[in-house]
Amino acid sequence: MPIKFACVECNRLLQVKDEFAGRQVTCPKCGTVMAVPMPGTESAGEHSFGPAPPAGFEDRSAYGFARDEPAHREPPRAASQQAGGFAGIRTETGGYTPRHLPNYLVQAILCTIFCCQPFGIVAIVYAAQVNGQLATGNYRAAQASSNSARTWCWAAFLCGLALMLVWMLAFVMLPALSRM
Amino acid sequence: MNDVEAKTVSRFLVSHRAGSAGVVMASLLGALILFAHDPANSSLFPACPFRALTGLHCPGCGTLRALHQLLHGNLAASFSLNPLMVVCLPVVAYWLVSCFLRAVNGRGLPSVLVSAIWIYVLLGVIVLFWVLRNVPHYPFSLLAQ
Repeated sequence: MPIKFACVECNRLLQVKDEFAGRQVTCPKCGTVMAVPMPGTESAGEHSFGPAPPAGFEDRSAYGFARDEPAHREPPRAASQQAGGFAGIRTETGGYTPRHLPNYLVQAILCTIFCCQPFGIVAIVYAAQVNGQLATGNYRAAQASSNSARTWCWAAFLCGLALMLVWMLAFVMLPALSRM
Repeated sequence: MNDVEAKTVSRFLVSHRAGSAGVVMASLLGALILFAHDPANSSLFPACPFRALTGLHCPGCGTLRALHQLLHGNLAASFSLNPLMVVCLPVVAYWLVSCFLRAVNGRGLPSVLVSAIWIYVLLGVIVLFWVLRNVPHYPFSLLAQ
């Protein structure tokens, strides 16, 4: 069962064979070096694989950076040095969370203006929550809010599209057909 | 050394890059149509559902006409049709440029992490604009034309 986890710098979803758990991997897109998290500890939003982690891994951050892991003492600064600067927001357990989590704010604004006001406003609220949660380093909640913002944007877009189609059908096409 | 092979997997149906390319192309197509046709005179454009159902202005009413005026260089006319949209335009433009760059080289512009407070302020401004432009008295009637 392959391990799926997000790159700590660019947040792209990566996939490695599960035999590489704990090993150093280079992100093929941004070149950041990071440790492959153990199965069950990685957090990629709706993607969670593997059994629950054993007790000793409880204080790991979502991306497997543990400060008191004696065997694999890869310095967390490897990620930031590779990227040439601050790699992300430091969590309480000493790991790094990625900055690049989309908040869908622009999409939510456009959906509110063009498509469906109530759903669009909900999307804007979730977009605001993403920023707030990223600022406090609460990555798991920020990922959930990001997913919610995206869902409500789609809901607004599809609702607006459906209303537009109904309108065109009722007020444009049917009268045109009845005149034929 | 490091022989661990990782491959990127898409979270969605299409890759992020393809989605960005689609957004850019749809925007260009929309801009072309808006340049050629004035929504004030043309029946090409669908009606606003909110206005059709309630008769009131939604926060986006006038956006298409304002964009048409903007594409022809009339900033004042554009602003009078929907001032909120004109003000928000730089933010949308930044996002579109980021989409274009992501479609081209895979990395967009750096995302600006504003405090959540400002997003709630923006939401308040949108709702306030929505309410005020429906007040039929001067000066609020200036917000909706």
